[in-house]
Amino acid sequence: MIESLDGHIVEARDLKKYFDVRSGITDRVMGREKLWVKAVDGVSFYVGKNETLGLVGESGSGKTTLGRTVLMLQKPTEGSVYFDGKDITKLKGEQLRKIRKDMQIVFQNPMSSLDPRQRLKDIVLEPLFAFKESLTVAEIRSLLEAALKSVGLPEDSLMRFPHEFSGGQRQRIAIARALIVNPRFIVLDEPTSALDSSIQTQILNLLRRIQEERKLSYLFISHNVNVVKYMAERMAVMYGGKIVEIGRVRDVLETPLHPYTLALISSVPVPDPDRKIASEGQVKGEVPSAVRIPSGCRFHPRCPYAEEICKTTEPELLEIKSSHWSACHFADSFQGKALTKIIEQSPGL
Amino acid sequence: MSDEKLEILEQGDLSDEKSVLRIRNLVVKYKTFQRDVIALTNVSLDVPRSTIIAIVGESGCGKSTLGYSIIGLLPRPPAEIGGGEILFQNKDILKLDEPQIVELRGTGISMIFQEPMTSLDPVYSVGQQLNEAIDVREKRKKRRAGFHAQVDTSSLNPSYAPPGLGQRMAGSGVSSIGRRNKKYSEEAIDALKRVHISDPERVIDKYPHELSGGMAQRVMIAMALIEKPAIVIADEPTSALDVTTQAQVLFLMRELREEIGTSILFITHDLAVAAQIADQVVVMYAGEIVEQASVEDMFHSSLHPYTEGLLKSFSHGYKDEGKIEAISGDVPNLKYLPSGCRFHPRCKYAFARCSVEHPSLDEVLPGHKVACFLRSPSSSNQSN
Repeated sequence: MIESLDGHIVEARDLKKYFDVRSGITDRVMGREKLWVKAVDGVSFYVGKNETLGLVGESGSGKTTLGRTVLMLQKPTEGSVYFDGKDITKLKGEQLRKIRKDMQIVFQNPMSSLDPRQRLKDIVLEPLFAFKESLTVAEIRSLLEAALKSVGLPEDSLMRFPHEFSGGQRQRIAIARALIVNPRFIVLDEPTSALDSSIQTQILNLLRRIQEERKLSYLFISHNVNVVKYMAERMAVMYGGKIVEIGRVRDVLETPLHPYTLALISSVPVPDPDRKIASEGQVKGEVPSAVRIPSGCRFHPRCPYAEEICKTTEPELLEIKSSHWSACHFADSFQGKALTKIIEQSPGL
Repeated sequence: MSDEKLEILEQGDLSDEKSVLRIRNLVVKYKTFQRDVIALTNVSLDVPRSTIIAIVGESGCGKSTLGYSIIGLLPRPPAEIGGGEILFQNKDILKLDEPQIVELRGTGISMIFQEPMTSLDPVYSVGQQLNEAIDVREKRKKRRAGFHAQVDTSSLNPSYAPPGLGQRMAGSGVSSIGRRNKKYSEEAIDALKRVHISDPERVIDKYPHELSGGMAQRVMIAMALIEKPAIVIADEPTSALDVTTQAQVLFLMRELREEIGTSILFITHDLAVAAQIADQVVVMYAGEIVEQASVEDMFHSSLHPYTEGLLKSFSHGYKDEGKIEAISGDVPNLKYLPSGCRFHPRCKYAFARCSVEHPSLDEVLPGHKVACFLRSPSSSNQSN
């Protein structure tokens, strides 16, 4: 996983983020043992320069927490994050602030991520003031125009309030706001999930165009495998706070090496009535509680291939094929099983 | 199975054989302090028995308004029925008063909502709510049996003798059910088994907040199974669920149709989900039906430019395979609808007639309707 740091804009090493569930007064007074929600439990990955890493997972997988922790919006419990070779988990105060200009975020909900009492121009310019950039009025004006032009918003919308815009337009505003400080890395946390499908395509195309023009790197978080396919070169699959599979998008989607990935892909509906999802999907049960994590491999209670070792020993994330990693005791032999299952049952992509 | 199906027919009007529900020229407006929001314009739809129809569209298309109109949950005011009728069992639902509509709900028309957590009553356990469903169904049967005793039933299959009410009650293992009674009947546990809940005895005691989204949605489907409605309106039932859970729930809903022959109006914004579950697909835009066809025809040979654009946005290729063409512009404001065809400002095929005249929904191929001057040049100018 950890190759050389050259060419990687962001690298996470064994990152952990635990939330304390029993920290209230009553719990402390009663002397209750601490209970942790292990949202991110030992995650390592890198994002290359001018590349998108897709991060796929269902609810409770930890993907949103991971996105925020990588940006240091939340302090990691353990582990480190390297930005352009520097360990930012060791930085504080002014040093950390300086790095933040290079890393930005676009949130999922365009309704709640914009201050309803601010006009568009104030929303988009706010990061400049937060970083105390000393700029002339003319410079500010031209930065604003450029940002609006990048996202396709008309100039006469400068004085309007968020409620006067549609969902898609609001998301464009959020993107313009992220771009104004010229970052090199953006975390996109489900940026189109709250939008209508026809608008989704517009925004995804916009994000791709901006990436091409500015040579940006993205961490693209989504529960939608099809969107990640469209946006990313590489992708990671998360389950129960850990990465279970990571590799090039084509490799992961066409020859998955983990039963959960296979189950996920097989459950994705295809807009073709002749390719129906077989039976109930490939997996039973539901996502486990993040507080009571299953022993051994987190996925074993739901895995159709689970054996004894899976209940006792947690599998490591290992490179099974070139640049294709999987955390499964049977990843090797799974290849064969996976291919047959895909041909037989999965509606494919 | 045949017994159960016959029971639905008994409850319904036997002369209404082909369609379970008929919507005719429905117009719904929401009154505001400024202009009216025209939520639905001249919507007509026939729902045949045991058929799953997907109503597909983006925000503002009117699909949810349509669903709420059928089950009588439209808040009137501010909503107003501007015209049309919704016929169920030969009665116009729009003209019924509240007690009459309540009588239809559950056993006649049922609804499954997007957020299962908010549809279940938080202060009663799963078992208590299932018991309530059984209770309601039995009380209604009792009432109707009392009424129908006066009706000539010789037209029914003479060799079929429905078991007496007393037998039915005893057979289901129910003594005195009420919401407060925590004795869960076998039928309630059975219903949970039918929706593939593997440990029903444990789940039946749980309260809604203790259930996951997928589990709660299954409980809703179990309740629908108990009441055996003629039609279920499912409003985005899987949109809040993870994709693996969604696959399970879609499978269950297909079983619902197989087991009890109910029709389902499946409202969704997700075309891929529609392909998985529907027999017929109806595409809505800005309050109107713009295309209607069998699921095969809709996905393999769609006609309307909006459908074409929508299908593209669900067919993502890999990143290195180039970009998908997106439909330009935004969904129109329902207070200020475009003239002529409502889609024309965003349509890449639009020509002169499209901005002036409003196309009617025509059947251009057997079972395939579309409202578009390009696809149906003979389409008449229908008042907007």
